[in-house]
This record gives sequence, C-alpha cells and structure tokens, in this order.
Amino acid sequence: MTKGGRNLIVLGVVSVLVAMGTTGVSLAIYHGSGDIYLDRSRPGYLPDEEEVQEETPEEEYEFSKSGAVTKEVLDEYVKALETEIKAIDLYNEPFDEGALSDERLGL
Amino acid sequence: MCYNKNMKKRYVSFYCIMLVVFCQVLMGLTGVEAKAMTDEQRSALVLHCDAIHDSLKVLQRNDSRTRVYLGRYYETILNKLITPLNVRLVENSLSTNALIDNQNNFAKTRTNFIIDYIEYQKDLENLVALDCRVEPEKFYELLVQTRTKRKIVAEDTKRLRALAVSNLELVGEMRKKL
Repeated sequence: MTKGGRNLIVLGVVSVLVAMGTTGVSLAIYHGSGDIYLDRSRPGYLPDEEEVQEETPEEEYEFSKSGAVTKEVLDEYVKALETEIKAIDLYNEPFDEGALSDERLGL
Repeated sequence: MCYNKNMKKRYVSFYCIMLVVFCQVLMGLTGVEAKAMTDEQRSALVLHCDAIHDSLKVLQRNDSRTRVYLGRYYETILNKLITPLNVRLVENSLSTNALIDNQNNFAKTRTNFIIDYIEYQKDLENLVALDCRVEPEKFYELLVQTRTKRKIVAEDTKRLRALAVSNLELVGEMRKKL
C-alpha cells in the first residue's frame, strides 16, 4: 500500500471517530438538557393523526407593550388570559398522582 | 468510676437518639418515603410486569403531550400577556407591586415546572427501562420515588393556574380603579 493510500485510510478512520465523538456529545446534551422529553418527533412519541388535524396554526394574540391603558384595553387582556386558562383547564388534573398509584398499576 | 460509666452510656444513648432524629428529618426533607413492598405486591409486580410496563409507556407518551401543550400555554401567558401588560403599565406609571410579584412568581414557577418535569421524566424513563421481573424491589423503590416527583410537577401546574387566576383578579381590581 502506498503512503498516500495509508494516509487516506487514517483520514477516513479519524473522520469517523470525530463524527462519532461529536454525535455522542450532541446526544448527551440533548438528553441532559431534557430536550428529549419535549421532542415529539422521536419514535413512539409522534402526535396522533387527530392531534395533527386539531392544530390549525392561528396567529397567536400578543398584548401590545405600548399604548394607553384603558378599560377596553384591560378587557381585551382579560379575555385573552381567560382563553388561555380555559385551554389549561381542558387538561383535567394534569400529572395526577393516581396514574402511578398501586391500584392503577394493579399492585 | 461507676458514675463515669453511666455518664458514658447516657452520652451514647443521647447521640444515638439524635442520629435517628437527624436521619428522619433528612428523609422527610428529601421526600424519601420508606414504603416497603408487600409480598402480594411483589407477586403482582412480577405477574403483571408486561402490562405495567405497557401502561408506563402510555403514561410517558401522554405526559409528553400534556407537557408540550401546557408549556406552550404557560409561555404564552408569561411572554405574550403578563410581561407586555406590566411593561405597558410601567410606561403609563400604573404599575403595581402585586402585578410585578405575580409576574416574578409565574416566571419562577414556570422554570420550576420545566426542571421538575425533566427530573420526573428521567425517573420515569429509568423505571420503564427496569425489568420488574428481575428487580421487583428496585422497581418499586423507583416507582415510589417517581410518584413523589410526579406530585411535585402536579403542584407546579396547580400553582401556575392559581397565579394566572390571581393575575386576572389583580387586573380586574385595576380596571375598577380606572
């Protein structure tokens, strides 16, 4: 084997090792930061079909940071906040203790 | 001589009692529950291991969905409603300490929710990875620990809802004064 050929193989091996190392570091960060638990595109966590259909991207309301503060402006704010609270309330008792109870797991 | 022996015994007893009290306080602070598994539970765990494993996986998936949606609502409330309102109130010299405290508490609790959820999910993931047939004791111990962490996340969500409602009330009071 020529010297050039050997160098090419060494370069290939080093490249693969560097790629494996950086991928490992990325995965460690992905896992350690907790992003893995929010990633719904990972296998087994993909959104349901009806869930995808539910999501109609509407333009989200944002309260303006500037302008006068009147009763009408505050009414608008209250209405927007109530909408968010109602959306939260759709999740009845989120993370309730019962889901991991002995009874529920049949223990 | 005899007096010294008695004193020594008293000191040893005193330190033993103090050690026991200290351990109990420490366990209470760290939320460790010394709940032992009964023989029936051990048998049920080994017998229904696959079913338990499946239901934990379903729970993990559902929790992920709940976390993503709730997280989005909390973010909207904080960054698109509460914070802009407070900025606008400051601009108009109408800002109140109660509303600023409410914003700070909401932001702090939201951060806790994010951290606590990660801690809970790490435990749940370890629980799913454990083979309940091979290590039932370890599995049950981790299950109890995961329950405690799930409870903390549930408390965070309750607190965040209460803070959002409290913000509504504070804004309502301000509206009356305008």
